[in-house]
Amino acid sequence: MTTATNKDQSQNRPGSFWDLPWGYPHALLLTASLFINGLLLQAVSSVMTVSLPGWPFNGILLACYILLLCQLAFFSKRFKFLDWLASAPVSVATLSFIGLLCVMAGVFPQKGPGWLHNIIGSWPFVMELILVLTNLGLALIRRVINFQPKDTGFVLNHLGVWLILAGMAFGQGDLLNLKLTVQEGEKTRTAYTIDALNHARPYPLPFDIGLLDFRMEEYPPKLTYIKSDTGLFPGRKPKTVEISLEQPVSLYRWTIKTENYLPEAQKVSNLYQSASNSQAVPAAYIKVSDRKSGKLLSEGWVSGSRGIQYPETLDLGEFSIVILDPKPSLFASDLVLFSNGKELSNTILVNKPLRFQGWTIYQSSYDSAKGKYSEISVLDIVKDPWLPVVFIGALFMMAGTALLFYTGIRSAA
Amino acid sequence: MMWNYFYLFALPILLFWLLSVFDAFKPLNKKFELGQALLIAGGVLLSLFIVLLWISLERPPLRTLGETRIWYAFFLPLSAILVERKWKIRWIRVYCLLIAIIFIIIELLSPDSYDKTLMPALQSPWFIPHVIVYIVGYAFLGASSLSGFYGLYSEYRGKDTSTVLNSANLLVVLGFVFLTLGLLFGGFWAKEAWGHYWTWDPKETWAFLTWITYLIYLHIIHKKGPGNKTAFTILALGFVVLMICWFGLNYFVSPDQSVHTYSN
Repeated sequence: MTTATNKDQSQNRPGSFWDLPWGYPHALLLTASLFINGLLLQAVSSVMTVSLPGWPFNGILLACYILLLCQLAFFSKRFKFLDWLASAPVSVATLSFIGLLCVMAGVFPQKGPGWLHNIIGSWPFVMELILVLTNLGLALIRRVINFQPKDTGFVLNHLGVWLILAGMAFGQGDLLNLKLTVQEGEKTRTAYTIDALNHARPYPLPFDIGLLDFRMEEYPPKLTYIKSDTGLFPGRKPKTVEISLEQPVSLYRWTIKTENYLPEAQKVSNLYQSASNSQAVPAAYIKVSDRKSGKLLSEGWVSGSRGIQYPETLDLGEFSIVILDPKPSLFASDLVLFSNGKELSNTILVNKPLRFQGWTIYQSSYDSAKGKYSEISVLDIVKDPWLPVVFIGALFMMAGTALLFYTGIRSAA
Repeated sequence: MMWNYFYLFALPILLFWLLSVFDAFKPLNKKFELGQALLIAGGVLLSLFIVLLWISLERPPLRTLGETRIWYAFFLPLSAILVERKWKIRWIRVYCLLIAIIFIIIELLSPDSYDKTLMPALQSPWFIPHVIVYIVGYAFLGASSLSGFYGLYSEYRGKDTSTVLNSANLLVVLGFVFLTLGLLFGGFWAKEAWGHYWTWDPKETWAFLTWITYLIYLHIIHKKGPGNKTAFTILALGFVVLMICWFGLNYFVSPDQSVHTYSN
């Protein structure tokens, strides 16, 4: 690092490092300084993550920032410093530091106290992000002022990225991501915000959410084998087979024939019978024989586990055959929303949220101990008023990349 | 149990592609390239396996690492053919085929578990475009990284590297286009499935890092940059980042830290 006194002395000498125009070394110096300043700010700052205020202050701040960028871009032809600030070397340098911070965010778990666990929102990241937005914004406005048709791809791509980054950063103060748990047959309007340290704070919604029914469908359960002494899978990827009443299936060194299969069953004095209640488990009566010799090794019931129902395994000596818990193929909540005397009924599933008065309601999870008999549904309730800005940015980028693809192919031909 | 029959497809594919590799060392034949025909024959066979696997699984074969590996082994040789036909660069075929061959062998030695289940989060119209676009992007970028390694070697030997750089540039542009689309499709999908388009999940962070790496490359080659050697070094580095993002992550990120865990 060059110190401040070095800088003062060298500025007086002709042909020195500090003579404009600047290039890559200066860009790296600027971004490294920003990074170190960010670290210092983080060290003295009392807050773990930097946050912007919500509407309307974030809007006013953004408008002022755009105005400032326009003024700087207008003067950038006269000042070589501004010319450099909008240049590719600054982009490369600041992207490198953003990349470095991403490596840190990718290595350290991003949960818990301390800035290392909250990289995206730490001062070093915010400092580099401001430089990215400035560098990108200046380059963009300059191209738009002197627009030529060949710049279309450049403008679409850079405007797209700028809108997405600005929308994410400035809209962060208005983003609400709430959790809500509702019981079957009941309604509630109290959702919770969860912060980075996992603290929940109640947040009253402007409407009530009632849960009529929580439903789940499951894939058929599978058979696999575990070590009898430890109860662990023998390999990293457990080998599994589907239960089939039609034909024997082969697993490891055995052939398994399923004599009886009950998707929902309960154990009654050593026998399994069909049952339909919250303790029911899948059960199968299987005959296991040696795959090569065909000799019958063992036969008996195997079952899943739930609540007080223990899993039934078939002991073959070194290994035991077990049924794996069935995996959900679909889970859904039948909801009713009440607002100002009006009612709206709708069903939500994973990947099929419900939009209501500017809010979006997502199926998140359920009581995993009870599985398909869960009596609660856990919902995510999200409000993101800045989404259109990010969405339009994404559309610009898609158009821009399509153009990039076209010109790339054409330049090759 | 389509995976049980994989060897029936894999062995002829390996044979075709190995012959194609040897053929690349012969002088270029203007009219008919036996090596290219062999490469395509292997590709057709592999695509046939993918189609049959898709039918037998009753879901798109894009969920597990093993499934994405066979798609990669399919798209990587295709990107090599593209470069070979445009620039008459033969060596890239050798490298791409060798990597595809390694992927096929990995698949033979450690076959994927046959699993029809598709968790609800993956049941979305975005599933297929999101993954395919990424794999195509990875194939182009993988080929560009091979150009990077070759370029560094040529620089070391003191050879002219402008042709290598040109082919690398095209591969990066094509790969970057698909990578960007993959990132955007992922965002659209995440908004529908999880409530927010971007949550800095480990997979997302590394995907963003991959994107940043190639973005840096594109800005470095713009106008007069710091030279070919730097560009090639970034491509070599990009390969490492890409590999960590694709499967390296599985080894050091626990499933409860990532929403992108779909294996058992």
